[in-house]
Order: sequence, then C-alpha cells, then structure tokens
Amino acid sequence: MPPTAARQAEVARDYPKRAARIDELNGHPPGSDGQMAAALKRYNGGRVLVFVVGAFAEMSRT
Amino acid sequence: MSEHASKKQKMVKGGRFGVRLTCLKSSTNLSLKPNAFATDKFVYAFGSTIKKLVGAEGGGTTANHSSFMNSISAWCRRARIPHRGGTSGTPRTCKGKGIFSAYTQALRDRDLPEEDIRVLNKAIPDLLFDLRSAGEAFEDMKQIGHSGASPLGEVKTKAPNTD
Repeated sequence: MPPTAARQAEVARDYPKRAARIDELNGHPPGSDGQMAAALKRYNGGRVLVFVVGAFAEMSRT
Repeated sequence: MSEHASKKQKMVKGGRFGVRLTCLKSSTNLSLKPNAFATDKFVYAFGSTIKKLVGAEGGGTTANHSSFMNSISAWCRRARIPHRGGTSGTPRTCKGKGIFSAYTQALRDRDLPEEDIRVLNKAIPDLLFDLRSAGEAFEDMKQIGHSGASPLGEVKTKAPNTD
C-alpha cells in the first residue's frame, strides 16, 4: 500500500474514534453512538474524505 | 511583513504546492516558539529533517497544508461546488458554529489533559463540501458515491520518514 493511502486509511479510521472520545468526555457511556458520533454520521454517513499529499508531490486517491 | 514571510506567501498564492526548502535557510538554528506538542526546539538544517518544523507556527508544514487546502477550495469554487473552509470557501473556516462546536465547546472550558485537547482540535475538519446539487452535473460524484452528500474533508501532509 502506498504511504499516502496508508495515511489516508489511518486518518479515516481515527475520525470515529475521536468522536467516540468526545462523547465519552461529554458523559456518554461507551458502546453506543453519542451526540458527536451521530453528528459525524450526518455528514456522508461519517465517511470523511481524506486528501493526503506527500513530500514528493504524490497524492492519495479518493 | 518579513522578506521570508512574503516570499512564502507569494509561492502559496502562485498556486504551487509547498514551499521550497531553501526558504527555511533563514530560519536554520533559530529557536522556535514554545509549543506543547513540539519535541524539538530548534530548526535544523533543511533536508530530511523538515519534520522538526512540527512546532513552528506558520512553518513549512503549515504552509504546505494551507496551500493544498486552498487549491482544493479554489477548484471547488471553479466547479461551483459550495463548501466551507479554504480561501474560496464560505466561510473560510470550519471552526465555530454549525458543525461540531455544540459538542466540543463546553469541553474547552474544562481542564482536560493535553491529549484530549488535541482530540478536540483534531475534530475540526478542514473542509465541508455540499454535493447535494452536484449529482447530475458530475458523473464522477455518482460513481464514487458522494452524489447528494455533504462529506467532510480533511487535508493531510506527509513528511518523509514518518508514519
């Protein structure tokens, strides 16, 4: 897997984790979707478009 | 504005991605402004150690990130795709009301550990595209399944020798 694609996948995976953490900080019990996770899902089902550009002008694909 | 800063801005405005490494020459061996997340406090000689600039405000990596994001924004404007974030977006930032601030604002007033503050900062997306009316005009949108959606966009730069 190209490095930009690996980074892209990593960032896309991190978004729902961050939403879950914010819900946890807001007092939502883990295991179900809190307000933040639900809000994230309102935007394209929570699928974030990640554009990665590398140091050698290589780019990730959508 | 310093000569160094104006030179950098000109390059970004010129539509080219990134900043030439020689632009860092004047910053070599200068101390950085303290930043909680920066492990190194010096800008080393340019080259493969560019990642040392992680703590520099408005440094090489930030300029790269911004120029790339602004280019995406400019192309969206050209294609008449409404979006938030970037110099051609309305508004130019995704911070503030409307996206996730309702869930993060109250947490900012709390005394959270550094890693949680980082989570809050990273929850702000770079771009928000409104593709609801782009379905018929853009065949590619249909094919990749974003037709009629409002996806968030995140721009990342990748330095050499990093994960």
